[in-house]
Amino acid sequence: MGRDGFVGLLLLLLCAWFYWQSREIQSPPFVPLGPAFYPQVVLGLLAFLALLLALRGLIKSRSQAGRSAQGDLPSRAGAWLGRYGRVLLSLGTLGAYVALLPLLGYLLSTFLFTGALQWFLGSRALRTLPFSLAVAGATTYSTYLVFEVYLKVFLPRGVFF
Amino acid sequence: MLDLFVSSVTSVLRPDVFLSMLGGITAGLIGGALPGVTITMTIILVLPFTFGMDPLQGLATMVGVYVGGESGGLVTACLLGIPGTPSAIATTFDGFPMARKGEPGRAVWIGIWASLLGGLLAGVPLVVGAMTLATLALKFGPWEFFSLFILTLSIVASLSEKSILKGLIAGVFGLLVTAIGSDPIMGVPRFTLGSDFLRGGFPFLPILIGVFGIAQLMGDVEKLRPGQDRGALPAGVNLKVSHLRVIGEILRQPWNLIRSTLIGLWIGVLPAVGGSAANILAYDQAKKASRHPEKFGTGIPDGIIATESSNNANIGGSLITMMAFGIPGDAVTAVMLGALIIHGIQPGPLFVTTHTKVAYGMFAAYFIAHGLTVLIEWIGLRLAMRVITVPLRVLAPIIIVLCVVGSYALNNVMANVWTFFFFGVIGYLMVKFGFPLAPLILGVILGDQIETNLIRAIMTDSDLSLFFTRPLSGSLLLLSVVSFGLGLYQARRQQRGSRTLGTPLLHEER
Repeated sequence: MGRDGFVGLLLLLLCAWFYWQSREIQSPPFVPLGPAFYPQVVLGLLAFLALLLALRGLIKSRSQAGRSAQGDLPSRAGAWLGRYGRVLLSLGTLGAYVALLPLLGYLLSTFLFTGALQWFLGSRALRTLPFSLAVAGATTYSTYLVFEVYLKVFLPRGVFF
Repeated sequence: MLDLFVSSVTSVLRPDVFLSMLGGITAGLIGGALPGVTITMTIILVLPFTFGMDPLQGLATMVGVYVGGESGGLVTACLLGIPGTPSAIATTFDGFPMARKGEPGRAVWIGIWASLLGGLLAGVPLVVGAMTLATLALKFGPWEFFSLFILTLSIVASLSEKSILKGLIAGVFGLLVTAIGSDPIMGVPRFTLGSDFLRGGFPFLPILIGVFGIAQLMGDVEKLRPGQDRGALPAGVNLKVSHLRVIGEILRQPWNLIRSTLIGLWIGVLPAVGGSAANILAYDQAKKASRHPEKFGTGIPDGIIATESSNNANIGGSLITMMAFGIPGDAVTAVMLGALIIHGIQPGPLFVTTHTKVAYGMFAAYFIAHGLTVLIEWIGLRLAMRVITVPLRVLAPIIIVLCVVGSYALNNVMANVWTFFFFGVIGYLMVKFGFPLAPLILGVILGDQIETNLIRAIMTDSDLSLFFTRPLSGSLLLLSVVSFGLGLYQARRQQRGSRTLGTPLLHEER
C-alpha cells in the first residue's frame, strides 16, 4: 500500500475517531452554528484529503509492485536501526527526562539527561568522560542560575528535593 | 511620526535594552554560523530569556537574533563551504570559491556589508509597509480576515516543495489541533476527554518549539556518524580586508543590490516562506541578469551580494506581515508572535496602533541591529567562530535542555513540556513521511482566528455569498484559488522533469 497509503489510512481513522468524539460536544440551544460546526468541517476536509492521499499511495505502490526484494529481514532491520537507532535513543532519553522532571526536580534530571544523551550520541571514550560530566554540570548549573535565580523563571521542583 | 521614531531609538539605546540586543545579536551570529542550528532554533532558545523582560526589550532582542543570524550563516558558508543556515546556501556558491582563491576576508566582508546594505534598504519599506497595511487591515471585517487566512494557508500549501496534497493535509491537521480545547466563541469543551489540561487547548509555542527544535535536531542526529566532529576553522585564516574597497565593490552593483533586496522583501512578505528561498532566488536572478553568467560559481562578488542582501531584506518583509496582520512571515516571526502573546500583546492589525512604542521599538531595533552586527563581527569574528567546533553530541543535549526550559517556563506546567515532546515526535515523523512543517504551524497559529472569523461572519449575516461579493474578501479568495492553481501547475511541470526552483520551506528553514 505504500507509505502514503498507510498515512492516508491512519488519518482517515483519526478523522473517524474525532468525528465520533465530536458528537459529544454540547451545543447550546438556539444557536444556529454550534461549537461542533467548525471541527466537523475541518474533519470533513481532512478526511477528503486523507482519502486522496490513500488512493494516491495505492496507485503509486501498484505501479512499483515489480521491485525486487531488498534483502532479508535481519539485515534490513540492522540497517534501519543503524540509521534511526540514535534518534530513537535520543527521543527515548528525552521522554525519560520529561517524565523524571517532576519527580527528581530540575537539577538532578537535567544533569542525568545531559550526561546520558552525550553518552548515547557518542561521547564514550574514557578521556572525554570528565569533559562530558563537566558539560552536564555546567549546563545544569548555569541554566539554573540564569533562569531560576536571575530571571526568576521557576523550574520544576522534585518530589524529594 | 518623526518624534515617535526618535523616542523609539532612544528607548532601544537604553543600556538594558542595548545590552540584551547585543546578546541577541551574538547568539544569532553563533547560532547562525553553527551548521545544523537554524535561526529558528536560536530564537527559540533565546525566547525563555526574554520572559522576564518588558516587551520592547524582549522583541528588540529577538530582532537582534534574527539580524545576527542572517549574518552568521555566511561566515561558515564562505570559510567552510557549509552554510550555517539554509539562507546562506547560495552564499557558498561564490563565497567559498572566493575564499579558496585566497580572499577569505573579502568574501566574508562582502557578505557582511551586503547584509547591512540590503537590510537597511529594506528598512524603509518595512516601516512604510507595516503602517500602511495595518491601516488597510483595520477596515477588514470577519469575512476579510477569514479569506486572508485561507489565502495564507493556500499559499503555504501550494509552495510545498514535495507535495501540495501533503501541504494541505499538514495545514488542515494544524487546524484540527487547535479545535482541541474550548471553542473560542462559547468556551464549550471539545475533544478534551475529560482532561483539565486539554480543556485549555494546546498553546502554540510548545508546539512550535517541539516541531522546529526536535525535528531539525533529530534530523542532524540521524546523520551523525561515530567519531565525526565538525570541521574546525582552518588555522591562520587572514580575514583582513579594506572595508572601503569592499563597500565600493558592492555599490558598483546597484541594480544587483536593489533587485536582490526587493526579492528578499517580497519573499519575506509571503507567509512562511523565508530566507532560504530568498537567497537562492536572488542568486538565480542575479545570474540571469548578469552580463557574465558563466563567472557565477567561480568566486565573484555578484553572487555574494545577491544572496546576502536578499536574506536580510527578507527579515524586513517577514516583519511587515507579522506586524500588520499578525501572520508570521516565517518561523522566526512565528516565535516573535508567541513572544508578543506572552507579553500580553495581541498581534494583529491593531498592534501597530495600540502598542506604538513596541512597534516603533522594533523598527528602531531592526536598523540599529544591522549596524551593531557589523560592529560585533568586526571586533569578535574570530573569537565567536571558535564555537563552531563544538560537536553535535555536546550541543544537542544543551539545545534540548533549553527547549524544555522554554516550554516549561511558559506557565510552569509540565503538560507544556509533554506537548513539546509529543509534537516534537510528530514533527519528526512528518518530515520523515514527506509532510512540510510550515502549513502545520500556520494552521496551529491561525486556527482559532479562522474559526472565530468564520462563525462571526456567518452570525452577522448568514448570507454565505458575502465572502465572495465583498470586494476585498472576494479578491483574497480569488487569489487563494489562483495561487493554488499556480502551485498545481508548477507541480505538474516539475513532474515532467523541467527544472523549477524548489522553495524550501519552514522545515528546512533559516
